[in-house]
This record gives sequence, C-alpha cells and structure tokens, in this order.
Amino acid sequence: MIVRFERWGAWVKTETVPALVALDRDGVRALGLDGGAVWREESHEASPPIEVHLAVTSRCGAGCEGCYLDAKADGVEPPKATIERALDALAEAGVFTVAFGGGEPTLRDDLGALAEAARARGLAPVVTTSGLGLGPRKIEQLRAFAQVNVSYDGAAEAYENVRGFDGSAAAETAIAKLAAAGIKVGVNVVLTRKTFAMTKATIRRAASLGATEVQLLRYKPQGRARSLDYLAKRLSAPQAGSLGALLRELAAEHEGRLTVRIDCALVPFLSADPELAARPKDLQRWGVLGCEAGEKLGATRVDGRVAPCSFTAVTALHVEQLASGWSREPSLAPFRAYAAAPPEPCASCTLRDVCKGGCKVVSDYATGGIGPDPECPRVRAHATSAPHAP
Amino acid sequence: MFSRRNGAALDDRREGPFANPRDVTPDQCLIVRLGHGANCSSVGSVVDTLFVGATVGGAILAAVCAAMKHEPVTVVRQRPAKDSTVADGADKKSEST
Repeated sequence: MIVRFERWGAWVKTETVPALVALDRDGVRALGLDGGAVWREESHEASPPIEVHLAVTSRCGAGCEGCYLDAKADGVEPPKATIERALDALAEAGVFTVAFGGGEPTLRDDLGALAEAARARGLAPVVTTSGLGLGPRKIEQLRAFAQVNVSYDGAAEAYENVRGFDGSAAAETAIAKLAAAGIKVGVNVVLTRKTFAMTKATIRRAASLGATEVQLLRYKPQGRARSLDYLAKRLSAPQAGSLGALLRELAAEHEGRLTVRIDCALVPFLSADPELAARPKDLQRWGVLGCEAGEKLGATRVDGRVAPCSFTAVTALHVEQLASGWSREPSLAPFRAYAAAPPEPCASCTLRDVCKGGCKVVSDYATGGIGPDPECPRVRAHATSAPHAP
Repeated sequence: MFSRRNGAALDDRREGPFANPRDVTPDQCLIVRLGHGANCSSVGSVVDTLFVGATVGGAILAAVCAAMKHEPVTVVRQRPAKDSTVADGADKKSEST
C-alpha cells in the first residue's frame, strides 16, 4: 500500500481491497508509522491532488458534438518522453491515480507502454475510451490499466442524443470484448434531458455486456457543448431533483454485481433528497467528492499546462512543476476560496462540505464566474424565494 | 527522501521503534473511497455504499482495515524536517529505502 502523510494523518491506498483511505493520526500510528516532519510543521499549504486527469492526445475523429475539449482528428499527440516526464512529476507530487484521457487515448500506439510507465512510478493508471476501433491489439494494450471505462450513453437513440451520432454498437462491442479479455471495464453514462429516463435500461444493458461499474456524468457546458444547445440538453429541474431516488433504485437492482458512481458535478443534486441531505457524515465517510477542482483533483492538457479540472481553463502552472507549484498557483486560489467559504444558499447547506458549492463550470457558463451552481435544486429554490431588488 | 519511485517499500515497519503495530479500527478511517474509477474528465465517487446496511458497510470497512494491516508500505512525498536533522522513524525509514 502507498502512504502519503498529511497534517491530519495520511492518505493510504490499498491494493488487495482497492481503496483510498484518509486515516487519522492514531490510525497511522497503529500501522507503525509516524508522519514526521509533515505532522510537526504548521504548514497550511494545499496538498497535491490525489487524482490527475492526463490528456495524452487531443486527437479524436469521433466528432462528438458535445466534446468538452473540442478534440479533432488532427489533434496533437505529445511524444512519449513528454508524457513520461509528466508521470514523473505526478509521482513526485504523491498523486495516486492518473486517468488517461484525450482526445481518444487508444489512438496512441504506445498507450500500453505509458500505462506500464505509470505503474512503474507507483501510480494507478486508468483510461477512458470511446471504444471505437478497439481491435485485439489495442485491447491487449489496455490490459496494463487498473480499469478501463467505455463511453456508453445507451442504445442507439440515447447515444446519438448525447454525441450526435450512433456509436452504440461499437461501444457495446468494446465493453463485451474488454470483459471477455478479463479487463475490468466500466461505462461512463452522460445524463441529458432526453436520455435520463433511459438510464436504468442503459445500465442493465452495460451490465449484461460485462461492465462491473457505471459512472453517471452530468452534461457540462464546455468545449463544443458550451453553446445554447446546452440549455436544451441539461437535466430538467425534476430530473435533477430525482437523482437520489434513481441512485437508490440502481444500487438495489445491481447490489453486489455492479458499482454505481456519480461524478462531482452531480453531487449538488443530492441536496434535493431529504434522506441523503440528512446524512452528510455518511457521504463524507464513503468518500463522495463534489467539486474538488484545484484541490483533490487536477488536470493537464496536451501542452502540459495544469487546470483545476478537465473542464476549466488552464493555469500558468506546468505539470512538471506540480509538486512545487500546486499550492502556490494563483489561478487555483479562487476555486479553493469559494469551496472553503461559499455564500448562501450553499453556506447553510448540510452537504456543503461534500458538494463544495457545485460545478464551477456550470456557474461560469451561466454567470461568467465562480458562484453557486444555478442548477442545484437548493440554489434554484433559493433564487425563487429570494426577494428581488426593486 | 522519496521512496516510491525506485520500487522500494517500507516493509520493515514491524521492527525498530514501530514494532507491534496495532489493528487500524474503522473509526480511524475518516474517508473511504472504494475502487479506482476510470473517468478522465471528472472525479467519480462510489454511491451504492450509501444505501447498504450497517452490516455490509461494517464488513467493507473491516476488509479495508485488514488490508492495511497486511500490505507492505511505501511512503511517498516525504519532506525533510525543516531543522534538517534526521528526525523520527518516518523520515529515517524513507531515507533507508
């Protein structure tokens, strides 16, 4: 297991039971370890991220109409040595998980070697792929990853609604082939207004093909999705308010067979679920993370520039300076400051410490800056009830 | 100062000043994030554990605690003490690997 000391104890990444645990100081001492200098210092610098999303190419010919990075067929592919230096930097900073993305990562012929390079540095490599064009040779390259997720928004109509073309057959084939090859495979399901009602069917289909995990994703207004079309694709208020109930049903249906995840941007919607909103300690305990942009999460683009998350603008920080520059990069400060002290209605929300104020990408789209997530049910209710200035 | 990158591990923790480690207890686990996840754009969190009963939840926590007891340790991102004198066990151990 890998241990990274923190002021409050340590992050501990276990392998036999794949998990990342925040252990308090007594727990660390119980392991026979001591935080040494980290525990003695009075530093309040931001710790490095625990997870970094690494764009290994900006090439992708799929042309998804909502691509958040506006990836294109003639995109950039950094040399292998450049990616290896980035992996060195992530390892030096004490990052635990590196999520390879793009563009379409499987377009790289050296993808398997890069995953091995990540493992050699003690990082857990994972990857997301569209599954398009995934033949036997590429599948073999994916064996080096701890997990592979295939973008799968549902059968024909649902897939096409999210991406603008029907690639569902290729995605389904990829899921089945990966599972047959013994590779741990999950699916990423983007939720939109038209596809939300199909979510249960989509997950049943993915599970029948061999997927063991599903991650539900909020559609976000960035890249090619940063347009007026976003307003028609985003979840409706009733759909957002029913997310907690949907998760409860999915957990019951797939218990023990398929793990259900949600992305950070969906966490605000849990505030509409009275039962979950009353259990913030449980959400914290089970590691539910809201907006961790610039805190526990970081991202890098193909030019090596670091961003708070994959959807936000890049900073001046280069990944090769991550260990020394993460805590001091000024562009990250507003994200951290907002999460630490959000205004109402976030300030009095029971889920505040989990949610961290909702998705900043959505607030930036709607208001031009960091603010309360305008699609959060609690924020919607607050806006409706608040007195308006004359 | 930095122990993970060459593949070395601090697997000698049951000797010296940290002999006889105890079991980690579930209440010492402030946060437990299960699995790897594999999304490249946004951070994902397991939520089905929110709906399991106390027995299942307790079994998961017990399994994680047991894993911590038995797996060899590698410490990353070590920092030297500001006074730069060789300090306590953690620093000394990492230097030795």
